[in-house]
Amino acid sequence: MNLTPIAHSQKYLRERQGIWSWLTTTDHKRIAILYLVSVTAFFVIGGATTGLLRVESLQPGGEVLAPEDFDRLFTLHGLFLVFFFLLPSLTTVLGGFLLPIVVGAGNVAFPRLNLVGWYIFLAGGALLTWSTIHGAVDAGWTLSMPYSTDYSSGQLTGVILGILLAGVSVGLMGLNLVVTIHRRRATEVSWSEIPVFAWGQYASGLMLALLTPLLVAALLLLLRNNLGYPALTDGPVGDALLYKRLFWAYAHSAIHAPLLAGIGITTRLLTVFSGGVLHERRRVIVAIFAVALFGLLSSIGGLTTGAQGLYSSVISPLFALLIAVPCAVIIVQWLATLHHGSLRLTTPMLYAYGFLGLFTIGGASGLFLAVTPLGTHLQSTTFSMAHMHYFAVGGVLTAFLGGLHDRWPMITGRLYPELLARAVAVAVFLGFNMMFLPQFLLGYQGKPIRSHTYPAEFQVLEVFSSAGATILVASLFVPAVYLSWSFFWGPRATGDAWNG
Amino acid sequence: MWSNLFGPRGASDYAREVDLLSMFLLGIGLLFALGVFATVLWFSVRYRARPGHTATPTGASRGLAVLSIVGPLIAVLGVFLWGFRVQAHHMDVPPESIEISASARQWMWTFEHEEGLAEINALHLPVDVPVVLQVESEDVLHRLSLPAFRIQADAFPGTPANLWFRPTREGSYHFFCTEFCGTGHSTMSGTVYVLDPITYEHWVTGDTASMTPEEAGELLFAAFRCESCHISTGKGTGPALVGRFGKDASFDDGSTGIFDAAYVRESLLEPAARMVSGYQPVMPSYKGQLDETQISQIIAYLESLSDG
Repeated sequence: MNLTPIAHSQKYLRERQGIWSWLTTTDHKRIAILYLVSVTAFFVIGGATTGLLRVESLQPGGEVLAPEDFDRLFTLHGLFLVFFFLLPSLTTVLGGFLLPIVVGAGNVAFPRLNLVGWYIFLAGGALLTWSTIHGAVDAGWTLSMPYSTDYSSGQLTGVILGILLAGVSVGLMGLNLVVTIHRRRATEVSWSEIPVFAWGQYASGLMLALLTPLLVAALLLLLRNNLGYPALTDGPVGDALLYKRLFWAYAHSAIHAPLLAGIGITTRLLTVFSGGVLHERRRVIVAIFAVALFGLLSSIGGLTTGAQGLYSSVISPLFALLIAVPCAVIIVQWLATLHHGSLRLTTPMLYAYGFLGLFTIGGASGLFLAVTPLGTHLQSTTFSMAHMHYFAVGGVLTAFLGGLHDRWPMITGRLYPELLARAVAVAVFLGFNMMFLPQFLLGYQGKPIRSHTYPAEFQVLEVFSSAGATILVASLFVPAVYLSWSFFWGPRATGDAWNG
Repeated sequence: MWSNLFGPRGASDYAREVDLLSMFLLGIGLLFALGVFATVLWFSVRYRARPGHTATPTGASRGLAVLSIVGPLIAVLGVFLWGFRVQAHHMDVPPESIEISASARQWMWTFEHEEGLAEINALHLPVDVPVVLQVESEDVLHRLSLPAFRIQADAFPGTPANLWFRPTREGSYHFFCTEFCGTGHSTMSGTVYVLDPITYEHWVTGDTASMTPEEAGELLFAAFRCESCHISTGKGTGPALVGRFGKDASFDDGSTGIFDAAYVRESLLEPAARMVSGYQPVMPSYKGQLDETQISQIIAYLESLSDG
């Protein structure tokens, strides 16, 4: 199990008391808790918009919200969920808490930077929230130029700075974890003994750290244009194209980076709760890095249907397709781990199954987008949106909930209601599929993303999707309640929580 | 099944090739995904934790490990080459293509035919004739998506992109803007009308001499997709027009009047001047798009909707 003894592990909660002790802590475990509270709060804001957006989509004419409100809502949805949940959650919360423990480091390599990173993250979230209250923006989370700079009203400068801070903080955290493995791991933990969980965090952290300069460059370019100072001689048009390439080179890889951490977490869960041993762990580790490498190579120049060069039309799609190979290797290794195991369908295990299911569907749908003729047809339709939600959002969500439930007794010394938690894990999986499977079909019929209205013949599938969203949102509300209850009043966990 | 799950069948020869590729991917994707799910379910039952059962994990054999690399590798390389071939085959634009400019601006598409005819949010095409659309934007980024033909192209300001296809089935098909472009983004859509060559010729040359004014007006009414807003049930973004001509009307400024030829003419040229009560000023102006004869033909058509 490798769980740190329960009674010892949460001394960090009691050692020092008072708010100041939390706000000045350099203990990686406490900072991870600060991140947990922060990303949960931002997830609630972003998640709440989902409900409103799905209510609006019940009717083809979009009769609940005004178009400009709908536009602001989906922009908020994307900004909060991508930059304040999707990118940071696995790295900052589970990585920040657990990685120093599993490699015997005692703390992260740069404890003060860890705390500063949280403040930067919080400042970014505060700026985005302030901007939301004072007008928000309606350009979508990609903030495409020249619409966002020249045609849209709202608090674009605040939003740019907000996501810039969030992106930088996540990049710093990624770097911190990578350096922790290199420089702070215990001498008795050799490279070959580093758990797959830590390798997932390593790959994810490395990608996020390497990609952050691209985000900074893209956002500074956007900021210059917003302030009226285009960077290129042909003005806003050239800048718009450059911004699009820079932003997507970052975003396409970055939103998939946390998936690598998710693979590491899921590998642990499937191994632990099947009572087995991960044979051929090296294959899984190599596959994780192959996914990262192919993902990086495919992102460069791969997301335009305009004038295409050799790279964007041939090489980039080839790398995108090749991602399927290491993904298949990982899935086969997981199934081999379950084979002849002793499988306990605990809450973390059910979330691991959920990850496996969403990862498989997300990966298969990614093949459609990677083949040039189909990718061209499906780009910016709800098909590509559904793929992104399966592969990135669903993966992060199930890995986050699975990892959190797995380590909850260790993190808090408390137990949660297991039967209720299992029911929620099943409902999350069903709700997610019910919400997003119809979007594949709608996307193939051409339904664009970010549409306030749509042709009437799409309504049946949209209603089905909204029903799934209701199940998903309601299900996600429940863990927030029982985990909060458990933190203060849950039964004490003793010994190895999973083996009694 | 195809038309139920994936919408209308493709309406071009290129769409048919794309759909074949799509069906193949769907097949191997389903095979793999269902295989994984079935295996997980089977293992969950077969190897469930229970008294007397202990884990004896064996891991993946070398053969299975090699298969998990070689199988997907062959599949993705095959799919890549297939996709490349489809794409390459579509690169050469047939010399007999007709050229139409597709200009985007917030929030409408204007299509201008070689004969000089311009259409807004509607595109009339002849069947079985290759078409090249020169797509460009006048303001922000847009993207023209023609899902029935399985193609899209970015509309950048100052950088035209060519998009060609050959419609092979008569009918009407949606087109959309798939690049978010502002408040009216989702209304920046329309219909492609694929017509038999003779009707298309009538339409594109404006050869309505052989038609009555009502028939010519009906052609214009359909061509400009008036019925998409002026839905006969009254649930559209514009008022229903059946039976309205010649009747009293109340306007949003509190005034009243008659829904007559003068009002229709005013609405076509300056739609926001007087709105029928209960409707928003979302109708675009057709000034410069319709000449006086065409306006008279539309009026004659609307009048005919109230006869009898």
